[in-house]
Amino acid sequence: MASHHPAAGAEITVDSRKLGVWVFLASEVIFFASLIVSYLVLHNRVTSGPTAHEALTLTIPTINTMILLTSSVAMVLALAHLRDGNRRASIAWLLTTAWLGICFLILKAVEYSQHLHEGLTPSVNVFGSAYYTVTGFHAAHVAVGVIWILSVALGLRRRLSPQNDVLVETVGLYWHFVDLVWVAIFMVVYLLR
Amino acid sequence: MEAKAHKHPNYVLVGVILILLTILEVSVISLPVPQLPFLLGFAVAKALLILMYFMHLKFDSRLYAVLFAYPWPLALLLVGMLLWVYFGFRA
Repeated sequence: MASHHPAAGAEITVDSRKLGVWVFLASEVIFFASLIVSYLVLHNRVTSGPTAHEALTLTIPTINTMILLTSSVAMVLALAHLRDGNRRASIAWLLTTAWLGICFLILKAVEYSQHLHEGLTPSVNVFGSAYYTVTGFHAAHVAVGVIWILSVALGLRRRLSPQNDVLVETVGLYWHFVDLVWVAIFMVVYLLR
Repeated sequence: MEAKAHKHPNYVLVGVILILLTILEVSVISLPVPQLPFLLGFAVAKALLILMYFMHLKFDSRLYAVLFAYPWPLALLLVGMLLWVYFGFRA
């Protein structure tokens, strides 16, 4: 069900599914703000084991930032093509987005592997716990996003149409939010070491 | 159905700007300047670009923006903690 809200020069409508996603994302702001603030408080209180400055490098996180930003462009192009009536291009961009998400997860796994090899485990110290909690929950959100995008692109492809673009728009909102959270994590965890 | 009155923004250009801002972010940490104001500025600029253009808050109903804005006092708490950590632990 949709309610209508006229705005300057054009009719702007409120879709209940989009509304639900925005409410969910608002709750996610609180969730990730709590995690990031916890990381800020805890990460410098290391008494033994590797510190953030010693353990973290910028190469993989910077590449991952580029990947997520590029994937957001791919996602928004998927929506634009669907609205223009080009369903095949839309599905292609959705699959590109999912592939970039998978690349992000692969690089995250490589980064975790390097950390574990160097002795940074979730239980080694309070920095390790906070680091894996923040980045792990974000990676889990990326994984959920990839599954959601693939389900929209593949499982529901027959239902995709310019008149039913909310399927792509809602998964797009979620995906851009995951990107937004990474912008904060990249700055707080990696750049402000 | 959603309103389609607006033309598509140049999404690729927005993406290029986001990547340039990321390069500036990474570059600034090796410069002898106060990092926090620059990093916060770049991150806020990136977040606003994503929200306005990719998440379409610039074009959609303001109801979505209001809904999304209500938990941001906590986000401001995040910034406050950031300042506290930076100036408290690194002083």
